[in-house]
Amino acid sequence: MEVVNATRRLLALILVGGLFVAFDIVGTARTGVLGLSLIILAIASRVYVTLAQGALATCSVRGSYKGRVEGGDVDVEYELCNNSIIPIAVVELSLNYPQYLKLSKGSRGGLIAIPPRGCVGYRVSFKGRVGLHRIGPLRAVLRDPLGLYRGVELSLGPVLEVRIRPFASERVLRALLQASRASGISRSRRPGEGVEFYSVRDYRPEDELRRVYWKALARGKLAVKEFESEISTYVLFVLALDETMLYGPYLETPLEHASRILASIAEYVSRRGDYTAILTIGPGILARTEFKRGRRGYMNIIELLSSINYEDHILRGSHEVKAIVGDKMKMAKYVKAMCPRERINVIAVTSASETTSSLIKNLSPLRSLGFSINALILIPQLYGLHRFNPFERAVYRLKVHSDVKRVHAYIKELRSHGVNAIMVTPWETPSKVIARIYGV
Amino acid sequence: MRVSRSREVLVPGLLILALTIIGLVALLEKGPLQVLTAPGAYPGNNGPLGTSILYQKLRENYTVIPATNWGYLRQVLSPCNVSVVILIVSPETPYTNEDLESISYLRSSCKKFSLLVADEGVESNKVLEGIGSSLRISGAILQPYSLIANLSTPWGWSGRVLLDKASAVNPLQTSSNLEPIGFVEVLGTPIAYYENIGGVEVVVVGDGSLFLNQVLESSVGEYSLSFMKSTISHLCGVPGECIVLMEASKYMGLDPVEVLRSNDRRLISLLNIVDVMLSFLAKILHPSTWLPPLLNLIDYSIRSLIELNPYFKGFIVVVSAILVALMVARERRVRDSMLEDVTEVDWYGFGEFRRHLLSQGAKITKQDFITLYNMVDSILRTLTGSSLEDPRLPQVLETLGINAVEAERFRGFMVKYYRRATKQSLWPPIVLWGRVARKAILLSERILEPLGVSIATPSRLELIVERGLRVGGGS
Repeated sequence: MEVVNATRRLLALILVGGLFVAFDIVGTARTGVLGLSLIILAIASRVYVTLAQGALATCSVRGSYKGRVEGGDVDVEYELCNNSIIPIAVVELSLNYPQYLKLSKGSRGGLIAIPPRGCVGYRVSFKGRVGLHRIGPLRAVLRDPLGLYRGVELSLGPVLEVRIRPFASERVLRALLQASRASGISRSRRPGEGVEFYSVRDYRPEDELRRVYWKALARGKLAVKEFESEISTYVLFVLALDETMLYGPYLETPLEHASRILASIAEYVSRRGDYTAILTIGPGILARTEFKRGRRGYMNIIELLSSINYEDHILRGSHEVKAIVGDKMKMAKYVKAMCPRERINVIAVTSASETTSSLIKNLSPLRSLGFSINALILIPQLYGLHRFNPFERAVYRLKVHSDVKRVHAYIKELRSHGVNAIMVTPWETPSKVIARIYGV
Repeated sequence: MRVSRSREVLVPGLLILALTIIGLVALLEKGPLQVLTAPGAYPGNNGPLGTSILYQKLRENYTVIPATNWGYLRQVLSPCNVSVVILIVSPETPYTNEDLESISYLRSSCKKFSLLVADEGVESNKVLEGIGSSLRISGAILQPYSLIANLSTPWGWSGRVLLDKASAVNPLQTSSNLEPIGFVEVLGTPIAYYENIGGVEVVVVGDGSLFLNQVLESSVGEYSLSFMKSTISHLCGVPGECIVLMEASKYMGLDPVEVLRSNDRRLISLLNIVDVMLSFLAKILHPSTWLPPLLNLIDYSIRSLIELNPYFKGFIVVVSAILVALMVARERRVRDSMLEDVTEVDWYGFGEFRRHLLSQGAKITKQDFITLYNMVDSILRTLTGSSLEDPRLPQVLETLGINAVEAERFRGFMVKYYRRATKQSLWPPIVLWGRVARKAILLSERILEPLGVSIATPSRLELIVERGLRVGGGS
């Protein structure tokens, strides 16, 4: 294969040059020098593009990125250094990146010139969306300044694996803490340190003064209030994926909504000192983390969420994963194997599609082991309401209502299997969702 | 097993051709090759009249540079932190002012400067004058040839040397800095002098032939060589810090082509024939020798042919066209399109319908009206306990702040068209469902808004419907 190919402009130039020479020879006009100059220009361009193509192929290209949190800017930068003494011009660049990412700053491609022994930088920014995204390499095509020759397309630089973590807001966290205080989410039924009132008993000398029950004292009895101690629990998060989890506008898809809800709850339970783990199930992914306590468990969950690749794990899928996920007994066995004990709180988040509904149903046998299963069901169709005017929005809602009714039926079915299924709309914040889970 | 070999073209032929042409033009641009063969006392001449042996012998102990360009040496030896000895043997062409300036510069800037002249002619006198020496070579050859000279130097070397063609060395005036160091035996003529001009030592011998190859190769050559070594050793001092600049620029050069063309046997006998042949080849192969005549020849031939036959013009055009066509055909032509950029996408449920809605607006059907009816009915049952069919609904809604008349009108409208849609009634006979559903949406929004529910804005509508279904188990 040729390293350099001619474009159709070359043919035109050669023909014009040839005509000029012919006119001169025949004696019609003194255009021979001009004609020869055009032909020499074509040859010179060929030589230049061949040399510059070699220089471009041996350019050292470094890639890097900054930014790891969802919603924030992820700055991707490539530096192209020309190690040769040949100037490289003109190079057309185009950056490879997944279709589902959107540039917020910079251009998808452009024209550059790299001076000899010099470097140029190419920088773009994305709004980070949760998951693992492969960005790069740069595709490059070299042409001479007149566009007579075109080098073959080259791939320059590394493929960057950009991991973006979901966003867990502090405000949500505070709401969750308040909700837990009000509801006593994890009750031990034993007196001790806690916030939930347990009983009143007689005063003992070591009791703190602030615990004195003043109403009893008014009646002449010295008594103190006892609180129910909170216990550590095991929480397993399950995220079931399919392509409907990618429906919706940028940064507002069910997957991102689910990740935010999971990250917020996970941060909350990790601060409470609970053991947490996550199981991610999808057409191409069956991944889990080990149960860990506190911050470590939380970080494991965040890492797993930030390693979900849309192409490999959601859009393509693998037969091996489907074989396990589609089998009710295998799935239950798989989950049971990762749990160190019985009676575990399971919080599953998924969209209401046929694929994922079967995933959650397949977890229902775990109820016999004392597992409590909460399922948050997202409606992917409702994630497309933006850009409509109010009337169009109403019509759209009517059109998707039949689908929403199917979700209702699905939720009903899950409930009949003993799963505490809750429908979640796109405009519900994680704090509202958790409040609904625990009925506060 | 046969191993198939594939031919991989790493460097295109056109590129090699282009680089070759560039190289030839660059050589041409540098001008014709200056390959000269000097028959005189030139250090590069290894013929009998050359000084190549002296050059080789000195190189054994010293750094010896053949001075082919004094101006260049001035640049190279600036700054000059070493001792320099200039050795001049029988120069044949006169020194220019630039040469003398360069030598004077070396004299003033170098750590130590000395001069050794062995010449029977007068060309060296300009150098002696330039550095301020009072010695001059007379230029009159002493008769007869092959005289014996006694030499005795202040640095302790003494002996006899055989002169060939010698000339007397005379001081311009007597001075204590001057010391004769050699005399012709029979004639008593001073043949060599030593002079010290404020630290600059000068030795002048009135015979350059003492150091020619033919003498140094002969039986008497050892005396000449011994004298030379002793003198250079004295003038240099420490060998490691001394550079000997041996004159190589003032000799008559002969073009090797001319030498061979002249067929002068006497001249050829004075030269090394191998060197002459190599010089001849270098000259012949240089593009300046053959490229311009070749181009002239081609030009002349084409012109001659055109003048000879007018049809030849057409022939040239055809040949040129074929050549150009071949050149263009060799190139693989591609369509020069832009690199395809990534197309960013959003995925949506009901994507097709959504696009249609955004681009062409909504088309509402009877089924949409039924859906709306069921939706509103479910919401009202959940939030008020009354359905749309319930005649008490307006009163219930009135307690929630909704105008009872308006509520009744809404209820009547919805029920009338619902019955028509579900074929429970045939009235009204003609219905434009799009308009009806559109009106129903607007009325529903007005009724539901005070209840905190909206179809047109993000709200808990789906949750309420779901709750209604859970409680009532409706459709």
